Amino acid sequence: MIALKNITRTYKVGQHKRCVLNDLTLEIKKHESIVIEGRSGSGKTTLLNILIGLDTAFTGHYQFEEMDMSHAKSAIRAKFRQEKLGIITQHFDLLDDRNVYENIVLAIHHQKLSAVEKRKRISELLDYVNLSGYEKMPVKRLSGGEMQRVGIARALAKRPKLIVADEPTGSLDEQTRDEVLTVFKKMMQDKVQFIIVTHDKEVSAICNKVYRLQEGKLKNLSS
Amino acid sequence: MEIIKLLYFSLRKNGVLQLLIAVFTFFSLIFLITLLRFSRHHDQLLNDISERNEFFENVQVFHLTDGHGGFFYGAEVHEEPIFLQADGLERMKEFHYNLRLSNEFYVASAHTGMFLEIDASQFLGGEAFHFGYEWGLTGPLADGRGNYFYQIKAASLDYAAWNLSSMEMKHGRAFQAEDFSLFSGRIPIILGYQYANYYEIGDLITMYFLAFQFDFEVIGILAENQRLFNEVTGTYLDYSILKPLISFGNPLNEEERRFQSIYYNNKSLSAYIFVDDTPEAVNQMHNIIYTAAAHLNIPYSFSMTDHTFVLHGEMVNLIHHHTGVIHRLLINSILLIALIILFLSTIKYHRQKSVYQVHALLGISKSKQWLALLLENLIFNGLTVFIALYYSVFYSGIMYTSYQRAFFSTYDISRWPIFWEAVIFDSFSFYHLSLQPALSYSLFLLLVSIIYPTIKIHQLYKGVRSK
Ligand SMILES: Nc1ncnc2c1ncn2[C@@H]1O[C@H](COP(=O)(O)OP(=O)(O)OP(=O)(O)O)[C@@H](O)[C@H]1O
Ligand SMILES: [Mg+2]
Repeated sequence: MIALKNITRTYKVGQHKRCVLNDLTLEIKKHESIVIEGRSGSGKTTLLNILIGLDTAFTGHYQFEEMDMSHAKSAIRAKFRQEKLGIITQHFDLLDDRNVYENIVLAIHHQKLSAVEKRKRISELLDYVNLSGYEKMPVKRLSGGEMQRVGIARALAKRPKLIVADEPTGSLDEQTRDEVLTVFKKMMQDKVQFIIVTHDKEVSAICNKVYRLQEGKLKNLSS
Repeated sequence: MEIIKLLYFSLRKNGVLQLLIAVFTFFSLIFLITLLRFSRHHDQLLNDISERNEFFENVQVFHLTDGHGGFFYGAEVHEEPIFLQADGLERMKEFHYNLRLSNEFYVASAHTGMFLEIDASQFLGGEAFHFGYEWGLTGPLADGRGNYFYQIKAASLDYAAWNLSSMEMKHGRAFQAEDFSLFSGRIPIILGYQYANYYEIGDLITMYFLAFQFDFEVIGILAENQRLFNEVTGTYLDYSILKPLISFGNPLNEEERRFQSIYYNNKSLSAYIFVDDTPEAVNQMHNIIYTAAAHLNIPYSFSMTDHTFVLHGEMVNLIHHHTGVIHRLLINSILLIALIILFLSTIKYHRQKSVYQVHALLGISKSKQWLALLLENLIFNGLTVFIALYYSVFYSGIMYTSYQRAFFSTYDISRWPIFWEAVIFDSFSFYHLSLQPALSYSLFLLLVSIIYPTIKIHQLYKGVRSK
């Protein structure tokens, strides 16, 4: 279970204070996937940065299963990201000097797997995202949709507790977006838990639990 | 394991090899230019030296002494020193006069084993100016009447020796023939280079010479590293006073008489005699001096001296000069390289920034990223440090070879660069000159290697991603 309670996050720009998240509360049950909608600048990324333990400059309480994330040290939060989360971003965040395999394997460095096991797992994942045989392909040469599917494969590789995706289709055109959405639908069927943040209605449609981020608070649209 | 992988990819991406090649090329280029400059300058100066020293080329040099090994120490017991004998002074003056009369040979007197005494409260310079400083004789001497004196390094020379020494001035004027003529109240002096901080042209300094008080007038200050023609080490005169061996009129009292006796003894019997390198000329010179000495009952003895000391001395000076040039060059190029490395590190970091961000997302901890960046910097900077050290050792080798050439007149290009011999050759160790900048550079880069990743990783986490 993931629980955010009374989360407030303000940014200070010069003398100015801007309250982006205002007393926000969210509870996500086990195996429940959700979509968070919101306009540009509404604070979606801010919320995700808190969820993935990158940002701790908030007030309120954040509990991830048994872990109290509001007070965890940087190394613990890094370990939490490494072991439990799969993160997908709008700009893919792939390392463009490496090939597909090297990018994905980076996410499972820490796992005690033999080289054979790693290869097998990555090959299966590439099948899953419909990129079979792309291991040796340099990331630079991929299309946007392919890159994002590599991003998804990388997020899934460690078999995370939760997938967090920040505008996964934000940098894609319609056709490549559909390629990516197909993968998300598949994940939905396979009961992979995820949180997607988006302003794209098409993306919200794949999930039946949808929230709207507005004025620093979340509103449940599905109930 | 994880760190090694991070390191591997970072090194691969940044083309460290190319960077190192660039740095190495840069070093080599500077090195080559220096080498070229060095050898051209060297040859040119060598030319100058041999032109200037044409005089020394076909001569034999004899050193005239009193045969006692000095006036102050070894005078033989059964024989009264000449300056105590009744007509000793007149005989010395005449001998001195006769010696310089001859057209058959050339006489020049120069010696550094004397000192001037000055009231301790009046002397402005530091201990390095004290006579015997090199072997630990510093501090004032008491005269028993409550006065304290310093013994100051001084060199005496006659006009012939001044002309042979071809010294360069920093300020003021050189000696002229008149400066060596009859004593007229003031003795003109030229000060060594290091005195420039303490005295000015025209200053009057009251000092004692052979226990007689004189007023000395500063007429000039020597350039750095000047030397007397008979001195091999160049630095002696930097802390020394150059005093002309002037002539004195008839003494007015017994005290003056005694002073002049010692003085003329010094002047004549510390002379170098340059004579044509033929048996006839040498023989004739022997005869003339023998006759003069016998006639006047002057004790003397000869020793033959190797005239190449003149060239050696000039070569040593030349190398002093080169050492200075190379040292400055080394410091400048190493400074430049340190800046380049810093610049490259910054570029490298900016190129890598997105990678660090991905690492942060994937949950690779801050400390691991820091360590990877640290190791990378250490490897990269460590290699350039190695190059810098190698480079400085190379220079050391060049300087050493130059000294070899100076002292043994051998210049074997195939022996370049002889590094390891330079370590053994400790009387002129250039390592301190060339290693100093290299070591400071290494220290600097080591600090950069540690501080830089710390700052950068800290910055990375400070501004949390907002896109
Ligand atoms: N580090 C920061 N410092 C100051 N202000 C920030 C910072 N990060 C974000 N903001 C501001 O906070 C607000 C919310 O930003 P956020 O990135 O969370 O929005 P978003 O909903 O993700 O927008 P988008 O859809 O464009 O990605 C914006 O107005 C933004 O300018
Ligand atoms: Mg955003």
